[in-house]
Amino acid sequence: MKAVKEKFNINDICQLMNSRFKHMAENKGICFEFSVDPVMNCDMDTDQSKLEQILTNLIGNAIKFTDEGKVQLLVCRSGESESVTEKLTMVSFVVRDDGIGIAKNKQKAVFEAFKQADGSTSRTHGGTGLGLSIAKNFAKLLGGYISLDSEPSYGSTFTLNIPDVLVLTDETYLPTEQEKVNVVKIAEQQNDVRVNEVVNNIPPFDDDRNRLDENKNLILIIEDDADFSKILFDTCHKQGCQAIVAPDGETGITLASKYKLCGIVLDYMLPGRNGVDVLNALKFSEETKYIPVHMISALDDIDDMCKLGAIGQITKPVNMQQIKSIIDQLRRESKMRKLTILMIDDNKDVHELMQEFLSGNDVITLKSAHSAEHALTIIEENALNGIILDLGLPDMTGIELLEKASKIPGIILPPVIVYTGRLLTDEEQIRLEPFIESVVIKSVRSHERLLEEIHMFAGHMARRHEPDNDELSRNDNDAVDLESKSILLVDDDMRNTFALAKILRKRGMQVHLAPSGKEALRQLDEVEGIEVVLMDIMMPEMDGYETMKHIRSQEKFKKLPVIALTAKAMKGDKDKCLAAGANDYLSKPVDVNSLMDMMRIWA
Amino acid sequence: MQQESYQTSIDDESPWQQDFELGLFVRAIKKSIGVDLDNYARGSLKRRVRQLLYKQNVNFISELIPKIIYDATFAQFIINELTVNVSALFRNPGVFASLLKNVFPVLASYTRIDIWVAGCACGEEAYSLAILLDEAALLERSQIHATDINVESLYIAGSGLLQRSLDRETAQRYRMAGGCNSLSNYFNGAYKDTRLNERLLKHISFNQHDLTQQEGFTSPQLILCRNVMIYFNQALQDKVLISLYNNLIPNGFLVIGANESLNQSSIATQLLAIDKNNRIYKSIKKRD
Repeated sequence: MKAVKEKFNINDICQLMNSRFKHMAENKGICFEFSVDPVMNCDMDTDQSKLEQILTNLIGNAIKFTDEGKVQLLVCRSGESESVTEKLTMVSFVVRDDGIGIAKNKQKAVFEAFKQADGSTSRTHGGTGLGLSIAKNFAKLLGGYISLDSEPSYGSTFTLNIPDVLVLTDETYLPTEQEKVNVVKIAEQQNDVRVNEVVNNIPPFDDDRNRLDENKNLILIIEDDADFSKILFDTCHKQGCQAIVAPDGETGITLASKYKLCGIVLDYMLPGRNGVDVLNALKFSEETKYIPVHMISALDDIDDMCKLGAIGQITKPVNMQQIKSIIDQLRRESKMRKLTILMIDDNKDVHELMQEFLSGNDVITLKSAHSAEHALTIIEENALNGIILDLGLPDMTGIELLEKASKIPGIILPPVIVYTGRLLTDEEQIRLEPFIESVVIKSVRSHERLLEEIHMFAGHMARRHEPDNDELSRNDNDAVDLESKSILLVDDDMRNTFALAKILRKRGMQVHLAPSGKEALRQLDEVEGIEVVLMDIMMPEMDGYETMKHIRSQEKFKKLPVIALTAKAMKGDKDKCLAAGANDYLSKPVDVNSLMDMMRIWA
Repeated sequence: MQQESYQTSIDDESPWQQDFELGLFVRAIKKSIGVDLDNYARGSLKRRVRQLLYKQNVNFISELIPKIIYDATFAQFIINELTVNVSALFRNPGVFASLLKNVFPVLASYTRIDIWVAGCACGEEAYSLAILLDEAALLERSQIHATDINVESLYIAGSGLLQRSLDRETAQRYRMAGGCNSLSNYFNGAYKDTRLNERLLKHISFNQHDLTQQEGFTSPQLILCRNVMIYFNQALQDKVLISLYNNLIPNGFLVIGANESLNQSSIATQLLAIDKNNRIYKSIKKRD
């Protein structure tokens, strides 16, 4: 082990701990606070990352064993210590908790063995110990020590005392190679993977990375508890998968981008970067963002990880059956995530660029068509998850192609994303709207967005087949009375119109689109039988108020139901809408059920 | 906790009467026009109120209270005085340069680009963006929504009138931001009457909006909210950040001020730093 000396400020460390643990504590219904002695000198010159790891360990531990009350981190100066060479100022980092406490006769064991004080508590609090022995070793490396003051049911106080300036002595600086080996050996004897992983991030046992079989699914296990990762590893094998193991988040992220994975099992509480951090990093990188991740946590009340992109989360302890189902879920999800996308573009370069961009992406299979005729054949013969369409084709226009494709018997078009080098006119967008989900303009970075759109819409598709999540089926009966109503939707923002028009159309309504006030007036004049107008207020040139005044000034439209769509935030909009002639108003983003109710009242 | 002890030390220096008056003042403003200053950072609020007393030529905060409760226009005037912010064209040019490099190419893939400048002061930031969007050939499909709580500032911003005429420093910042034209091409007039060209101005809408109490009103791909949150306390900063985040489209971008941070925020994990130094973040929210 090696300590690196660097200058830093204690407040930064505290802020970091706060951001790392505040949320975790809140989710458990307890409080995490920190306080730095306001008059102390906050500069330190020692190994910042070791200090971080010790504190992460102590605080993580404290939160884990505290069910009510609070966990505090207090920092102050604690006098001077005589070192061999010079006088040192000592800094105390006090981690206090209101947890279950530790009996006097067990306090020594807490540091020495990789065990919790009481064998029985490990069930409720999950996993094996938390590497206090490592924290102790680190403290020693920094020239300090950790002391413990605790009584059962009165909480525990762990105090880390270290000098503010690291003195590099032979003892603290670099252990010899032989010592390093000894550390690992002792660790293995104690079944303590952490020391091992600190030395280098090799897995705690021989995993499958050197004997990969291309035909088997590969799972990545990111877990610092060696026992538990072995259980996961063995279960993967029983389920016919292979597995590789990363004992910390950083290693996990590296492995995830290196191997073709079917899924990741990710522990929440890890040394260094915690599970949330790792999950975010995985979801942020183009290479790894589509790999399904399942979280496992020792804490009961962690955040909803699904919001951050995990496919599920489970609290330790877990039984064999649950592990099996996690592995199954990862496989199912990864299979579902395999997408076949048809790219229609007459320019060969566009196909090549896309192929290149997707190289290494084992989720998306790209099929290419250079003409509309060719595309129609592929659409007819393949189950596609999505289509990327350029509008300018040699044999027919994109719109003609979509119209033709939608008429092929037995074919329901998958989500279509228009990928075009030029801007579309309002008219074009309106004609395309019934067939497409979105428009991506070709740009230097448009591949990125194209991929995001594909996953968004393909994800939507997959969900649509689950009856429980199908909002439409729940509302089908309610919507019957609105079926075949003719609606004019006025909004200059095509993104809004696209989304809303699709929802209304699915409920059997006929939807006309107008991208401006002027266009709305024209359509009202020319299109027979419009029964309801949905009017956006914020539009350039002729805004919603003015348009409504024009509508109401005509005798034949005196009774036409007009519902204004206003921005929630704008003051006084409601009154102005009604004054301008709206029957009612709704704030954006539009809540579909409220809109249905409102249309039922007025239509 | 550290912050609290810091605040107490300020409070210790000022007599209790002043705090008591300030409390009444805040309540009076809230009653009168609904603007809630309670969660504004006390230190800077006090400083601004002190300046206001000087300008109004009164000795005590309580002398303002009768006018505030009986005259809503005066209350609005007070708010305008307290919330006036000074900005400049291409302030922190590094931020603009980074937007140009990291964010504009992504914006270019949208058919319609919506940008929200929250806390737009006298419009300088919105103008700067409009100029750079124009040079990136994106302005035609862009709509910049500029908002501020300060009606006075908005009025000036909407007119396109520059508060400070173009000078060397501005031109330098424009260059550093990645501007590749001549700045004067975008403005009419000179000296005290320099205005942004109508061609650019028509892509910016100006609306009054209280970030602390109202939700957003558009689904932008990019939000700039710089040097606004520094006036709020931690709880309010968090509230505002959540509201901004909720408004962003999935994979949208958020820019905050150089002295502002996400560290304390509960949504820190849902925003990833694209450019940490320039405080540019990307939302990793999923489409619901």
